[in-house]
This record gives sequence, C-alpha cells and structure tokens, in this order.
Amino acid sequence: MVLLQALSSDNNISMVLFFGTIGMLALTIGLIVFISFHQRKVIRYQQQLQRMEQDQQKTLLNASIRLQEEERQRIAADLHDDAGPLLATARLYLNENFVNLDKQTQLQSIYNAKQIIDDTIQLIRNISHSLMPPTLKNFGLESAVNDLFQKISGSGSMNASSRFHDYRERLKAENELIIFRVIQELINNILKHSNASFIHLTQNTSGQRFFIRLHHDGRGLTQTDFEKLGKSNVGLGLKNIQSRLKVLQGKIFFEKDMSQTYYKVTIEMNREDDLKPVNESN
Amino acid sequence: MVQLFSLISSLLPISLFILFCTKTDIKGLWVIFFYLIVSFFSDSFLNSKWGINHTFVLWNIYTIVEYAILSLFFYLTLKLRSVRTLIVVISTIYFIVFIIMIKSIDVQYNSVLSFFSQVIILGLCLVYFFTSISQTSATVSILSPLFLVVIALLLYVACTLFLFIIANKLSAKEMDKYWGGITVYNNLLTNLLFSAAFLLYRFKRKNPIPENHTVDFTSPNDR
Repeated sequence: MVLLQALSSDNNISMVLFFGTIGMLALTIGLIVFISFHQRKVIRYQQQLQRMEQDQQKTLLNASIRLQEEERQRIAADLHDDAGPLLATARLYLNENFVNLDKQTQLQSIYNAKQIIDDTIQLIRNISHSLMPPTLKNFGLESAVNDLFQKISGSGSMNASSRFHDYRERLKAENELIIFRVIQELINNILKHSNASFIHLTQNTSGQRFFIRLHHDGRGLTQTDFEKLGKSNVGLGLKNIQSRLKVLQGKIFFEKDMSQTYYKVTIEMNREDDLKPVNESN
Repeated sequence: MVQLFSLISSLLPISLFILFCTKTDIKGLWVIFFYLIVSFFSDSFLNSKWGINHTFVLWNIYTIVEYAILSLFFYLTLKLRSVRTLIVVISTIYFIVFIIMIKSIDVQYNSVLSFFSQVIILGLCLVYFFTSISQTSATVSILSPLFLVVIALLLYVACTLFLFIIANKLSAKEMDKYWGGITVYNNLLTNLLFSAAFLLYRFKRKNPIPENHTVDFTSPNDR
C-alpha cells in the first residue's frame, strides 16, 4: 500500500519498476547461483565419502587376502616340513622290509613305521583342528571358548576365564565361527602385545543385541588407536577382525573400563534372524 | 515485431515437447506443456479483434488459469505432504477471493490478485529449491528438467512481480511501454529455459546415469 501511494508520478513508477525488477532479478540469480554451488559442494562431499569408504573396503580386502595367504602358507609349511618328512621316513622303514629279510629287523621297522604314521595322523589332526575346531562345530561357541581359555590357563602363562551368561540358543554355525575367530585374534594380540596377567571373557544379551566382552590388565588399545591402526598399513589382525565383523554387521569397541585400570574390548552384534534352535545345531 | 517474436518463441518448447517428451512419466512436464499451450492461445487472443476489446477479461482469466496450472505443477512436483496440503488450502482461498471479485473482471486488471498469485508461486519455487538442497541423495537435481522449469518460473515471477503490483496505476500508454518491454523479453527467456528443460529430458533419457553398484569387497571366505 505504501508502495502504491508512492507511485504518484511517471518518474516514480519507472524508478520503482526498474529497481524492483532489477532487484528481484538479482536476488533470483543470486539464489540460483547459491543453490548450484551448494549442490556441487554436497556432491563433492558425497563423492569424497564414497572414495574413503571404498579405500577402507580395499584395505580390509587386502588384509583379508594377505591373511588367507599367510594361513595357506602356514598349512603348506606344516604339511611340507612336518608331514612330508614323517611319511618319507615311514616309507624308508617299509622299504627296508624288501631289502632286509631278517624277521626281527622287519618287525622293528614296521613298528617304527607305525609309530611315525601315528605321529603323522596326530599332526594332520592338529592342522585340521586349527582350521575348524571340532568343539566349536559339535558343541558350539560357549564350549569352544571355554576350551580355548582352559588351554591358555593350563599353559600357566596367564589366568584366563570365561563366562557365558545367556547363551541358551546357539547362533548360526558360520557366525559362531566368525565370532570365535575374532576372539582368537583378540586373545592372540593380548598374549603377544599386552603383557597381561589375566583375561576374562563374558557373554551377555540385551534384547536382540549380543555382546562379548573381554577384560585384561595389560597394555591395551583404545578406540582411537584401533581406528588409527585400521587406516594404516600395519595391524593386519585388527583389519581382519574388522572385515569379519562387517560380515556379521557387528561392531567392536576398545576402551578402558570405568576404573581406568583394565582394558575392555566389546563385540556387539544383532541377534535378529541369527538364532538357531539348539536341536537343529546338534 | 519483438512481440510477434515472443509469441512465436512459445512454439519452440511446445514443438520440442511434442517431439521428445510425449512419452514422459513426469507429470510436471505435461502440466508445463499445457501451460505453454494456454499461454500461446491467450497471447494470440490478446492480439485478436475480440481480445483488444476485452483485454481486462482476458488478463484476469489468464491470471487465475495460470495460477491454477502452476499450483498444480508444484502440487505434482513437491512430495512433502504438508506443502501439498498448504497448496490446496491457499488455492481454495485464492479461488474464493477471485469469485468474490469477479464483478470487476471486465472493468480493470486485478493487480492485487495477480500480485498474490505471483508471491505464492515465488514461495513455492523457494520451497522446491530448499527441499532439493536438503536432499541427501547424490542425485544431481541441478541437472534435472524440473529444476530448469522451476528456474524459468522463478525468473518469470521475479521479473514481472513489480509490474503486476503497479499494473493498476499504469495508463494504456505506460502499459504498452512497460508491459511490452518486460513481459516480451521475459517470455523469450522463459520459453528458452522451458525448451532447455525438454531438451535436457531428452538427453537424460538417451544417456541415463548408470546405477552405482557398490563393489562387494568382502572376502569369499567370509561370504
């Protein structure tokens, strides 16, 4: 209304029209330019995020491949260095029977060959167990973890204990194996690097969330350390843990506990669609 | 001469739509096509013998039809439920006010009603832009035909807003001077942008952006 009252003369009309239109046009162009720049910025940011995610995935893939290769080399070395010479020796003993016809010597060489074959069987069984622990397959995660902790405790190097509070229903076999491997990797790291005197593992559930917590009193990692190592070229085992947990869509947290004395590692995953009745698993 | 050129320029987006966009499933583009046809016939009528004698009737009818078409365009384009409800409510009020004022349809150009229709369209253009900005998806909305259409509408509204405010105060001579000067060039620009939008639609249909399939980097053993 004020504007309309102001329009008293031709000159005023021209001025208002000119400046008003130019002003609106400038504002509009400014807005369009702003939106274009903003969108470009958003797209650049999204591309950067995507690149970072791909880099992270590549690092995990490389870690996973390297670990597989190392595992294969270890098995190849076990078979070549241990099983190979044992079987070759057994063959030598058995060959002696063709050369030496003395019955006593023959019996002795057969006995020696049998001993060596028994050792080889035990060796192959050990290799097989390290690939897939029979306790895990037959009795589940709880038994396998308890077994592992008893072995550690039995060695006398460390006090290790585990307690499963709520594991009435087993997870899927492949998921149990993944969690077991993650626990093995964590224990391995604690044994190698932390100089701890005890490890304690607890299992719990909260709604559909499944938790495994490890406490130890040695030198440990915090989440920042874990993330740093995850991005660097070292820390192959930790990357392996990450890639395994990614399959389960699980998370892992490294922290100091409330008292700031112990280190705590928490593995968390969703139990939905993962429950398997006990009868089925056995 | 320029006016004739402006009238003919509206045939460019119409023919481009018929050539390239008749198979489109974007309802907004169909609405714009309809809007262009209405504009073309309205401009043609204005230059006819009947149109010259009934300029105010034509302008007033064109204002309400234009508002109806553009609000329908935004109703179909904006997916926010609250905005859609708001469009329906405001449009209802707008039409009621128009009906109340219909008595003076042949007496003078309703500058106030026109101003409000322009402001509503301007507001809807801004809502469209800000909803596009807040989208987190990687879709490049700047390069979409609808984005160009909204830019065209925004420029059209921004250029003619002040003209519509003072339209009642202008004499026939001034009307010729300003109206012709601003609307003709504005029509040219808007029609070019509509044509660009239809061409962009054609280009995008011929060269669809490939879907981004994320590479599965998980180890075969872990799958």
